[in-house]
Amino acid sequence: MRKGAHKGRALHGMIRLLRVFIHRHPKIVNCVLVLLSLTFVFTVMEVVFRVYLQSQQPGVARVITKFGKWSSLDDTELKFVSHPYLSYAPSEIKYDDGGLWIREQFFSNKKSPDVVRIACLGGSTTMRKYPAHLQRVLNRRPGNLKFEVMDFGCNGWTLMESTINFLIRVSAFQPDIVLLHHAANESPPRQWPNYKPDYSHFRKSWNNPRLGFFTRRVLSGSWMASYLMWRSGLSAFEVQNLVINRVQQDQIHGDPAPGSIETIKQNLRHLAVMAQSIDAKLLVAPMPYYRKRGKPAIQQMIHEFNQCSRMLARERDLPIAETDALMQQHTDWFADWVHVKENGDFLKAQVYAMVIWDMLGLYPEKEEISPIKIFGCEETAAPLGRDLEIQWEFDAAKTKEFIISVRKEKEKEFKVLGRTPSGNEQSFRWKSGAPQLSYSLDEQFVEGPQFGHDYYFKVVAISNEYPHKVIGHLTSKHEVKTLERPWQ
Amino acid sequence: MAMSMGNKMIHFLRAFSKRHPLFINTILLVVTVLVVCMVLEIGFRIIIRSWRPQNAQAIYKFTQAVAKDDTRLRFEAHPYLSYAPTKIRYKDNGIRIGKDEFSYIKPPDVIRVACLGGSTTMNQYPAALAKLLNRWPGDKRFEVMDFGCDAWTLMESTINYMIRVAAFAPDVVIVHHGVNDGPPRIWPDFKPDYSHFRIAWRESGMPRFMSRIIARSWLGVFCMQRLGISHFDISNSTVRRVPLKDLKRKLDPESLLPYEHNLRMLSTMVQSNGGQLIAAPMAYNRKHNNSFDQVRIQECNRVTRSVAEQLGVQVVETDLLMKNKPEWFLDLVHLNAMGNNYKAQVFSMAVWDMVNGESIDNRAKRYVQCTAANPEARDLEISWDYDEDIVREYHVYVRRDDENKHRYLGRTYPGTSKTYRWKSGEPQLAPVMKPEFYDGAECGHIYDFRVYPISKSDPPKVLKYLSGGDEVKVFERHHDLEARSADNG
Repeated sequence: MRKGAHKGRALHGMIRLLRVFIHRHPKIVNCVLVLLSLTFVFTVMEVVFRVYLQSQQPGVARVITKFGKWSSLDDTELKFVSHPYLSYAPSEIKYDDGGLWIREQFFSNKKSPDVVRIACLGGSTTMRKYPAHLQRVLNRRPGNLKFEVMDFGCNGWTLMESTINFLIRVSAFQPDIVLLHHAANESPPRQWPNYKPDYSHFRKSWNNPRLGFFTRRVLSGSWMASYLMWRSGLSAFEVQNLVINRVQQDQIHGDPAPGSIETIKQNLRHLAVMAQSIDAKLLVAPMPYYRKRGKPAIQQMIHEFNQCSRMLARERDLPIAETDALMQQHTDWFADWVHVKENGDFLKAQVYAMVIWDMLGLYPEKEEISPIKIFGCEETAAPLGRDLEIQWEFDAAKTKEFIISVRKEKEKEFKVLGRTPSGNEQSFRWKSGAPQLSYSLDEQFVEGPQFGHDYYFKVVAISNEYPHKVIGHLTSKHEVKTLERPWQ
Repeated sequence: MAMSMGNKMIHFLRAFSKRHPLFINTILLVVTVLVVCMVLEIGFRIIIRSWRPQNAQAIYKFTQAVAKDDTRLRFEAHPYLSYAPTKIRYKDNGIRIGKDEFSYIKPPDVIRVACLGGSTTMNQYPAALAKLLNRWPGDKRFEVMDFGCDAWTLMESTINYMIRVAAFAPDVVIVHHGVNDGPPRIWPDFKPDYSHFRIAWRESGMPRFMSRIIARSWLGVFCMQRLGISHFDISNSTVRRVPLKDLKRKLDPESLLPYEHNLRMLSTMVQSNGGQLIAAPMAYNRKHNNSFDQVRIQECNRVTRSVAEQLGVQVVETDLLMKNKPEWFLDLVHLNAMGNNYKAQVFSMAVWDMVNGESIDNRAKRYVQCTAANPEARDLEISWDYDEDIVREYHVYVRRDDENKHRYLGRTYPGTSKTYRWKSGEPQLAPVMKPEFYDGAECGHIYDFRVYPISKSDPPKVLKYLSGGDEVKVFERHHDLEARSADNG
């Protein structure tokens, strides 16, 4: 009772205090009211806009939601730096005394003789994508060669940047093979208004955009603001605002500018002759793309670019590594129209590794079908499966048998794949569709290795003396080598 | 009355100062600061003039140059070149350079010459080269494209060739570099892609008007120089600013590798596009006082020559005669009109030889050795075409550079003879020549000829006159190699 009365009195007091306050400071109260009503109006507008956009233009609505998401994830300032000749470049590529750092790996100016260097040129489908896998796959192969894969890809780079980058940076590192994987980023410059062959209508020097990073982040919380930013040509990725001339959405052409393909052909030619002049071989890797995503005009431009690069390869007798046919069998590995999930990158790395192995003339068997032939032709049906040979070296005299275990990329534990008939056998064949080649293959692995998966192997040596004991654990890439052969 | 006015004034001031002490103090402070600054400035000027007259001169030049600088009008940002001249603009079906337009599709009778270089190319020799080439005999038309840009290194020129020049399919590419690749070599933290030196175009740290104001003071200029601020705004906008004391004093041989590499790549690309490269080492002034600058040019020239020799690229020396012509130089490398005319003359002969399929051995002799033997002599053959039936004789008039009148050089007869030879020291080759021209044409000048046909009628009449590159052709001969070497022997 007392408590209730106390509460009532307190409330009463509060109200009285408020009344007095309102009476004394009418301006503040008005301001608060105005603010509240503004917020309310904006909220209503935002809600109405969201409902309207979602019902009327669901495609645009999807773009806008992504815009907001990407804006908040963007870390351009950390990932890229301004460059005088490339507009921008990944900040993870840094010169140091005597060489170059690409992320955690150091590449010396002077290449040692047992090293094979592969320079990967490309856009976002290269940067931090397949190159690391390619290096791992190649270094697991038998032999004493050491493979260094240099990831020179950069998000948003076109062939123009990659060609200039080859001239001013890459070529000094004497790559033996230059892997060219472009196409996707070539369409925006071809669609931008006022086409100029040096892409200066599209690309600009690294420049601060009018909207700050912070403002853009806050604004992109609202669909309406995002919509306005998107319409005015601002991008969710800060790097695009910094290095691309801003153009309103409706000024961007649907079809490529006439004659714009000539610039691509010229850059391809320049790249090829520059590579040739430093005794590097150019490997052309056309871009696989998801036919059900993206506008037809853009797909057409990717196709056109792929065709140009294939033509260049045919004219100059350069190898091609096609991954498109294989990727079309696994469209679920596409993250969007060109970017692939990790399985797709494994697949690319596996195919490129086979072609590179062939380019270096390291497949001894002459009767085997050459990977350059299989993957060099667009029309050829993609291989159905893989053919791996696991090899190791261990003291045969002491060993009764070897047990081979396998682990798929993200699995935690090894599973027994099979065993060898004796200690003399120091290799194990695992081929899709041909389980009879393996001496004893566990049933769950009868199908053989599949594309798009990365396998790690472990070999355990069992002693021939009684009681049988494990006398060797071979796991590292130096101990267990994996040779992949192509087959149709 | 006047007295009372003065009294009133003083009275008013006193009252004012009492009422507003803060105001008065501020004024006093400002005046004192100004006086101190003035004294400092005057003291500095006197000291530096007597102590280091060279520095004083540099500072004076700086103040002059800042006032004249028109970077913003002449250059603009470019994503792949850091900056580029505004005089080069893309058009619908080609490109405009200055006043000349060049189409993407090269007409069949046109020979295109692209000039790559720095400030020794931009607005320098190319115009004269176009003039000279277009009056060589024959039906070929020459288009000379001036792709030079102030302060560009070979790095920019190579990228520029790749992204812009190659699309115009030049038949001959003249690369004339060697001086601007020096600064990247002395900038700290050398990087092979020149990113330690060049930066993407940014508005300079100090607003334009501020630097102009500061540049009025010698002390200010001295400080700006120390901080690495240049009087050319283009350098402030596109070169990493480095304090003067951090610049290297020694040259690292590795820093020469990008120059060599770019030259190789340029040659490769030009060849693949069906063009021919001319490597022209940089001519420089031996009398210029900074020997460190000279060493850097020498090293670049050495690379130019050796790479060209390895790759079978034509070297064209313009330096050999100019060693003895310090009066043609404005500074270390920039030339007056005569120097540029001489370059144009040598390049035009080289381009002519190249286009007419002269073997590279012969060419090499001409541009590397012969010019050294006797570079001052010239041998011109003027030719024209006219209806011979009605002509008795031709009078040839000549005008040197920008003289306002053509002067009588000599004449030729009968009307069937339609050439006139004007060779240094050999006037007998022409039928009649005015004695003042016996020495022949001089290097460093461009001669413009007019031919007046005189009719057979009585009295003889001047029919008209022939002029210009289409009507009067000028063939410039190389001196006879054999005879020359025999002379020397």
